[in-house]
Amino acid sequence: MKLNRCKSAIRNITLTLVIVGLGACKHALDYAPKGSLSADLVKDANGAELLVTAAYASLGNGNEYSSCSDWIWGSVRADDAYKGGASTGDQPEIDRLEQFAFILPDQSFLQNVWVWNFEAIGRANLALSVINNLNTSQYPLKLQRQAEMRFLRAHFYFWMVENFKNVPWIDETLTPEQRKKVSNTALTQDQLWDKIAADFQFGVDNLPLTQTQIGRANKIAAAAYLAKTRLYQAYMQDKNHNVIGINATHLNEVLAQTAFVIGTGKYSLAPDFAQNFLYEYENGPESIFAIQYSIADGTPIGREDWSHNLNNNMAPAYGCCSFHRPSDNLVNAFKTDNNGLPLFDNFNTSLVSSQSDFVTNSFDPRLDHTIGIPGHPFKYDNTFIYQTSYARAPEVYGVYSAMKEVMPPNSPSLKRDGSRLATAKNWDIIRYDDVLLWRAEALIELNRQAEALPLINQIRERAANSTGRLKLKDGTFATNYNVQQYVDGVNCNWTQAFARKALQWERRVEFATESPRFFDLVRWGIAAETLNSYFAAESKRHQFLKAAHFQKNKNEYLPIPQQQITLSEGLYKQNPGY
Amino acid sequence: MRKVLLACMLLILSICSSYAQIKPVTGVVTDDQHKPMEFVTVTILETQKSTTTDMNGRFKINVLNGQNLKFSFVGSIPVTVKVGSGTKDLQIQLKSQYTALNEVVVTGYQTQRKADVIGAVSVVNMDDVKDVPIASPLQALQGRIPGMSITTDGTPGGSARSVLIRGINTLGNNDPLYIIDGQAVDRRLFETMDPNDIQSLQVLKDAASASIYGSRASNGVIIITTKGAKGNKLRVDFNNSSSLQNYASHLQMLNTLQRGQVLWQAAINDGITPVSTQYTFTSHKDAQGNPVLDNVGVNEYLDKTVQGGIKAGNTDWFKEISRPGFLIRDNLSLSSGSDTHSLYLSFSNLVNRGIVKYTDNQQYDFRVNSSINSPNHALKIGENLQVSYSKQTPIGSGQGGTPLDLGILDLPILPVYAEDGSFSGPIGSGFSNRQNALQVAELSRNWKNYYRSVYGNAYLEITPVKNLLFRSVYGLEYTEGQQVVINPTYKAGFLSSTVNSYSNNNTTNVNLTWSNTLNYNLEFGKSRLNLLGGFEYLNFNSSFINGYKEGFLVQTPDYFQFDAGTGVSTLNGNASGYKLLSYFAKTNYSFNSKYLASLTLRSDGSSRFGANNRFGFFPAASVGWRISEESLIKNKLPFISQLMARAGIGTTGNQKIGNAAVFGLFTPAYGVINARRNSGSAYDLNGINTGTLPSGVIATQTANPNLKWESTTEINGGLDFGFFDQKVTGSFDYFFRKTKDILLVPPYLAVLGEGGPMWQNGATMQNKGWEFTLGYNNHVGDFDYRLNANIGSFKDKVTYIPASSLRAYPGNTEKTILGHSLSSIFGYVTDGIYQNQAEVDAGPIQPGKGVGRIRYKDLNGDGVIDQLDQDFLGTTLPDFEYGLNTSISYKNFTLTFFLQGIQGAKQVNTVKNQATLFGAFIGQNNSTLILNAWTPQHTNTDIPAVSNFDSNNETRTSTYQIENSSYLKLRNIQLGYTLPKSFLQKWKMSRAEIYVSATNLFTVKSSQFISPDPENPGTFYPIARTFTLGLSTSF
Repeated sequence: MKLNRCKSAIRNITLTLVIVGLGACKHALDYAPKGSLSADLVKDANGAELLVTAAYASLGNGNEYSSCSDWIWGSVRADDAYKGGASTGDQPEIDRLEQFAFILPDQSFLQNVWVWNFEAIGRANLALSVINNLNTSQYPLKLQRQAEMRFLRAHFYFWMVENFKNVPWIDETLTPEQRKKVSNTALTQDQLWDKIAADFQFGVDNLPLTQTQIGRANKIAAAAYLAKTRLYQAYMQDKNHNVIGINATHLNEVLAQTAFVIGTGKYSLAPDFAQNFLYEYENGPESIFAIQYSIADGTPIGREDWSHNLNNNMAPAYGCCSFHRPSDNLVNAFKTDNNGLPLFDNFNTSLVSSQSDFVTNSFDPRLDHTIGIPGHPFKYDNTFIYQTSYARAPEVYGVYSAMKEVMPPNSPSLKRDGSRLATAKNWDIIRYDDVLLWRAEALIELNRQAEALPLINQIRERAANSTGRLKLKDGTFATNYNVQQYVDGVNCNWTQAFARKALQWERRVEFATESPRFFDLVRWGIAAETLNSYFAAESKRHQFLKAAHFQKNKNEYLPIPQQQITLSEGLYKQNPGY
Repeated sequence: MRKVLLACMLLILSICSSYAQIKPVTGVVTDDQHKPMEFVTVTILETQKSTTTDMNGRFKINVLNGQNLKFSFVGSIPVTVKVGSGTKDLQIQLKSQYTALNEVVVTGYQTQRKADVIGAVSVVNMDDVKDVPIASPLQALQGRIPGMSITTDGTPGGSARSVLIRGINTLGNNDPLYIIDGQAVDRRLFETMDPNDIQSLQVLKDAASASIYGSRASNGVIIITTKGAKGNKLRVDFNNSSSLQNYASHLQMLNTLQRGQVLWQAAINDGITPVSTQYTFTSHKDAQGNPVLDNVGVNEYLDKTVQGGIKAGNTDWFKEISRPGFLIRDNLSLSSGSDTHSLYLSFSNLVNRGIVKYTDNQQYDFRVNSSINSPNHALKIGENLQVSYSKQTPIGSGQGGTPLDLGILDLPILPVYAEDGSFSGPIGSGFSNRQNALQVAELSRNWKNYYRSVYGNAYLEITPVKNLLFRSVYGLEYTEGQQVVINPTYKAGFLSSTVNSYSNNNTTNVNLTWSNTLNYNLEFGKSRLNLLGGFEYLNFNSSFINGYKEGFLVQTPDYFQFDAGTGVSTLNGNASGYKLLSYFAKTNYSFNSKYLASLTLRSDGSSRFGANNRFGFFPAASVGWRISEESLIKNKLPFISQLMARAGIGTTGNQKIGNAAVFGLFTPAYGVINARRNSGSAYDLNGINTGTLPSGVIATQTANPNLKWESTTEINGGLDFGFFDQKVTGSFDYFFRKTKDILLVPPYLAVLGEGGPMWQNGATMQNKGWEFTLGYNNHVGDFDYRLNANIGSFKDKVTYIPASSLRAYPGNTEKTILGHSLSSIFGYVTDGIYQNQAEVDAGPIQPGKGVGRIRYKDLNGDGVIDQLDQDFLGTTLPDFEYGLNTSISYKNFTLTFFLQGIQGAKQVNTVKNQATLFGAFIGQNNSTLILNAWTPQHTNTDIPAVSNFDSNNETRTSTYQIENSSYLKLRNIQLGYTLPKSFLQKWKMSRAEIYVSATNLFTVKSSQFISPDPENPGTFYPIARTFTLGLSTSF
């Protein structure tokens, strides 16, 4: 009896279990992802703000070869600097870029910078697509944020167009399926410049003169970037990258926009050139738009400038890795004649090889703001004299060190990760000196070189005044400085041709190793002759450049990454020559 | 047991002198364990009339006195009894032969006799495995199961690198499902088990047998059952083994002078003046004007200014980082059982000191398996519990990789120590920023990996009516992995770290499973039917938390705790999980023990899939025909003792994707970094340089609400055979699989942005293969010997991949992976070395070509070497794998050896690049193979000229690095001695064995393969050669 009851109880339990099991409710399988948001949750004003911030973050998302800085793409690829490091085999992809002859479309650096820039463009587009669906009552900042996002999109596209020339134009109106169908040759480079210009124009029209948050783009930055865009666009290229003419309309647009920037009076040249390269002075009077880096910000290694982390020299205070090494050619470019003007034609005939050469010759003081030279104070510290031993592989890459992107060893901006050092120092995208020289360039090409003269001289005057931080302990200088302004009819004959030469020289020494050099050469249409003559002379001093060769009508631009061409099923077309 | 049998025989003998008369004889037949045996054939030898035993092992047959009754059953030693006048109620015990046929096999929510299994199921003989001195039972299975392929390395306490059952079936994760005591668990849990605790281990290979596990079974299922009490008496087992380990071999690197020669030669080849800050060169020109190196001088100091100076050395880095290792394993277990209770207790520990300095592993396992039975056996309650803990010092890593990587990379000229006694580091010119290998080992000696787990289940078994079993199991798996990384400051050469740090990464997984099954056995006439039905609910939750802190004033390991740090700290963490709800049913039918059939149905719902496709259905069916039971065979071909044909078809699934794979996701990525590249969403908009930054969110995944199961359909045909009373046994299986709707994330055009990844059901694959095992056992006098060979082969083929995804796999715009194995190697074909300028000029356009450089084949003949000149050049999976286990015993001695090998596999041996190409790895060392490089005077070689530049891109994947990685290894050889009874009695032991063994004594490999171990071509942790002394006792 007892056993039977037990048995029936067991039977009941079994039955219940089976029923519970079979009838388990539908919610048993519900699952919500943790720590992330679904698409619906970012569609309001709050979501829009989050997407906007993330788009800004793209500005600083870089590593040693990203487009955050152009030391590889603009400086190593030009006559300003060598790759550096332990040998040519150290970061071989950069070696290929430096020597041009062996660039391959499937190099991972090319693929990665392409992807990263489109990720950044994607962030801006994503924010725009959400903002566009909000009205101003929901989102009072609608127009301003749209303008900021179009500014960022144009910024990233600018880099893509100046490096790859033929890229697909993607805006926020395209669905993913539509994006896959846009060819990189659907628009010509000229049309792409127009698209970029339209984005900056939208910024000029809709951004405030001043932003309470300094990291955001303002109206002046948009105007300056628009000027830069039109300047690049003005030099018309054919399909094979030959410059076939200069468009005066675009040059006049450059004048209009630079006039606006200068006219606001909001920006000016810093009294000492050095301030542009010191953490303490970042966001100074000359900085129109900059990547805002930060340290001790709660991120694992800081949202710092990791794009220059290889470029500290081998001084014990830094440790590694001595990349980005100023060329002999660049050192020579700072030479001046007795009038304090550049040695335009004979600058590179003799090699500066010993300290006495820095005293017997005369130089533009920007030399010691740009290059670490044995026996000279490094980074404005006369207790920190640069030594030959700080140069890695001197038998390959010589003895000089890059300096502008390097912070003093005791700078609170520095953060170490293994042998690498990064800095929280902002990296300027647009500086006031650049704006002055764009304007000067446009004036000269419009045959109004007389108006360009005072602009260039303003730059030279500031250079002459920028020696205060270069003194040795005893108050003397390691270099004999002599830089003078151009005086038409006195120390020069300020014709259009001469003015052009002076402008090109001024841009080189002002922005040496900062990156614009390669893009300037391509814009001016003189990359092949300049670089091949550079290789011819330089390879006698540095044998590793023996095989280096710039192929005209090809190497002006990078190849389209092979993987993208493949993924596009052949929709993307490779650039000429690759 | 023996006594009972003996008594029984005596009884029979004593009554066999009686006279003939027809009479009914009844009896019962039992097995080794006194359990009634069903379907035993009882034959009157004189008349060949026969009957079989019923479910209770009973039989009844009419027989004449003086006739002989033969009791036979597959897998048992037949017994013949002469019927005498006193013969009435016979008690027959059949002893099992050495054979797996009688083994009880766990086939998923139920058990079956091996002989009745009609799927492709392999059973591992744990006796072969348990003494092998390897920390993980999984690794010990290597080569034991046909069709199962395990790759491994030698890391103490490390995990197998890959486990494949019947090859590759999907583009994603191919790891099988691991079931311990009925519940799916993490592979690591199995790997940390003590093999001594494993009662049985079987592998369900085909879909028909695996489909009972439905959605997770498409890569096969490994089922482990842990031990319970054996018999009624108290039993204590103690096992110990102690092993010594050392390197089998390693790559021979250049010494300081040899490297100087190579450096000189590189400059000469490049036509530049050889200059070095490390060496001085003296040379002259011979009569032909060729430079000849006379002497390589080594400068005394690499640097005089740091660390008291760093002098040039001549370091063998492999030697510096190596040491002899040892492995000690102990296991103590106690078991006790009775009719109403069973208890098994076991404790084991393992200590392994690795052959790379500072690496080690300690492991402790504790197990309690117990059960209580009601006296009428209607109710049983029990539990299995395993608690394990392991602490591992993994191989560390610094600039340039692990000490093993650095053993290859570090220059011999770098001494281990600087003049002040501290570790030296690269300094001056000619070094890449690679850290001192030994220093990396030393700096990372306080890295620890902890693994803690509690795994167990409680079960209830009720038999409410006869033959009906209800079973409810509640299982809990709790695992915690913890990774502690302590990085002290250091300064060595130009490398330094001025900030020390501590990070602690904790991952916790909780897996709850509740399964309920009803099992019913029914018998009518000659038919036997078994019905199984059940449901299961699984809830898996995982979370991780990762803390990081800098700034510790003291660098003793104990000081490194979060509270003690004063610098920057970061904290990361997240959680995820999934749920699975399943219903299943299975029926096994057999007619006359001759015709067998089985049908399985399973329906699985998973939270990982979109609401539209949550449930998947996984049916399977199989049939078997025991041909040897046909009278034709029995009568005419008596040498066939067992023959069964099997066939099955079934569908299994795969759901190994992210838990949130269906969702469109936006993630706040405040400070995400990847190789120093920030990819986060925070930005210093305010320009104040520090403090908490404004942060946004980024898109990370596109939603796919239609995402559904990936499913594999498989046909399996098999034949099991045994000849000459099972002296020869074996089986053959052939399978064909098709996997469709394979889950993948297609690569996407960059213009789609960060939200581009999207899980999709896309590809289709095929896989086919066969497995064959053959065993032979016999004895000659006191010699007993046993051979088991297995061989398995499989070949996969990708048959469909959506065009959008095709580019993620090997191939180019003209050749795609379609029709090829997923393990295919794709690359260029080399065509020797350009010997002279005329050849170079005549060759196709090849950027960087030159005299002494590798010539690539212009496969498409367009005159240009580009990506279209690549082709499929073999697969990394072998044509076949095999194993041979041999055991010979003579009196108290047993010798076993186990050979394992793979044949026909290829590998892209990237170590060959580092070993033989100079220009791509400047500032790092090469192997002595590079001394054989091409020069104008030495042209008979395949190694290209040394050069400071890799203009020709010789590191590209080509036949230069593709090598035949076939091998045959003597995995284990063991000699055991069982102590004699007299000795045992003195010590009150029931059994004692001592043994010596050696593993990995020799390897046969292709001479073409440049690395010492084809199994381990790169710089994975080397697989050690091991010598062991072991003891195994029972009380």
